[in-house]
Amino acid sequence: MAGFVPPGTTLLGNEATSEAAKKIDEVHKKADYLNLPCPIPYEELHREALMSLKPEYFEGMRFDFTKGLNQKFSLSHSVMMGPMEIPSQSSEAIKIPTAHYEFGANFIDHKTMLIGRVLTDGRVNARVKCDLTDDLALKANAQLTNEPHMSHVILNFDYKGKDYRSQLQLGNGALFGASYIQSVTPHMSLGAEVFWAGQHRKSGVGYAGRYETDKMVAAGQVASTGLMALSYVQKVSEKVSLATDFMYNYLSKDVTASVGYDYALRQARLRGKIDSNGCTSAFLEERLNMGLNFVLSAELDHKKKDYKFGFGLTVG
Amino acid sequence: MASQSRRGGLSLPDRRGSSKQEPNILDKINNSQIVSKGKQAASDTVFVAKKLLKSTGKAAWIAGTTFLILAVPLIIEMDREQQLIELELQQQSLLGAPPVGPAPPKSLYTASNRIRVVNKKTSARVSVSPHKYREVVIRVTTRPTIHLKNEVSFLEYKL
Repeated sequence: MAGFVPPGTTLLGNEATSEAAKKIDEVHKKADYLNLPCPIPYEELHREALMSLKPEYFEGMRFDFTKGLNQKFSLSHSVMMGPMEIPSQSSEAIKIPTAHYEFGANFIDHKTMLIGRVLTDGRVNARVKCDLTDDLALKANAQLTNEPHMSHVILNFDYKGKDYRSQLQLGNGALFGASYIQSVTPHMSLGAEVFWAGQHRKSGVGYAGRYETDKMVAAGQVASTGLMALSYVQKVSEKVSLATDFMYNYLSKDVTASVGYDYALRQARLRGKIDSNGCTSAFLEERLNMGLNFVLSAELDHKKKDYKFGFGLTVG
Repeated sequence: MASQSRRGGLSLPDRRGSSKQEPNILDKINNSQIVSKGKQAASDTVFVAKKLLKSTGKAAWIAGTTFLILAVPLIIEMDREQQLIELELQQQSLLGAPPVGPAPPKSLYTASNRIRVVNKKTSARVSVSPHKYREVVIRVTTRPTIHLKNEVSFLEYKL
């Protein structure tokens, strides 16, 4: 790492030598194009912005209990009660109170990760993440539902090279996708993706770029499906980060911009966001005790006059 | 002349306007330009004031609820974080100091079992009795939670 001072130096010249060492390291870093770091996966391009600006808001009550039976195996029980929104054509949102219980099992190894969930409304989810070799990883995601034609399965093969990553995606309904992302400088990486959906007769190309330093991350993505997304996250201090997001659909001329903050304190994590659609939301996770988290979620939509509040408890 | 068209009996007198008499001074004032313009201006003002009040009310409501959702939890959490930092600083300074004397002075505890401890920002009621003091200390070292830490640090502070 830059600025590392070997432990033999005396106290007198310590500061001067560490400054000199830092400068030499920086110069070396600028010139070293053969040792670029491995970029993050293409689908996680907007990872920091999504983590800060899009937590899982919910409405109603939520209770999650995770019990570890083993070092690798754990079971999870989850109860959710609250109104579910039914998409309707009129401007009024139709909400129907529902309640469901979800049982899940997780197996986490250093090479494999298996997650399964079954819900009382008839849905079954499965996720598999497996490192086949050092460089090749397999991810699979499957969902079975009661409703016809809503079940799907997606398989991803990821290959990680020295300073690039490539991914091949196969899904049911003749879905094929491929993406590639490469580091071009120590801070910047560029990528592209193509996909073809046979069932919906759609295909698309997309390009993405990401620039990151210690203090900030800027990412941009354009796709031929009309999506253009830009995001910027600035780490103001080690506890606070501010994020903004801009999404523009150039086919349907739909624009959304949002600004948010993310406070990661020791006992709590608070994320707040305000939107250009007149939507304000906040999400608070507070640690009441060891392994006991209290979750509060609030979403106010001033335009549609739709207010959603949720509270929950997470154990384990 | 006006009564010729009637069949007799009581009837309302004719309206002033139908006769060709000259309008009197009150009518002149009422129909003048200045008065009508003034009336128009007054009703416009009332209209604009109502709209302004309504939109100010709306804006205040939106600003208030947005502040409540975005800023109030933030203030509360930052305050708690400050308290936690102060607590840790206190504990550090206390543990860094030479070890505490053997027994707590009896005068603090004989008066009543409840001690009211006032910190800079919060005040907490701690109930303690002299033979339970050691118990409290041991509890803190094995299962540190904020509540218990508070108790111990306040007690030590009092000492």
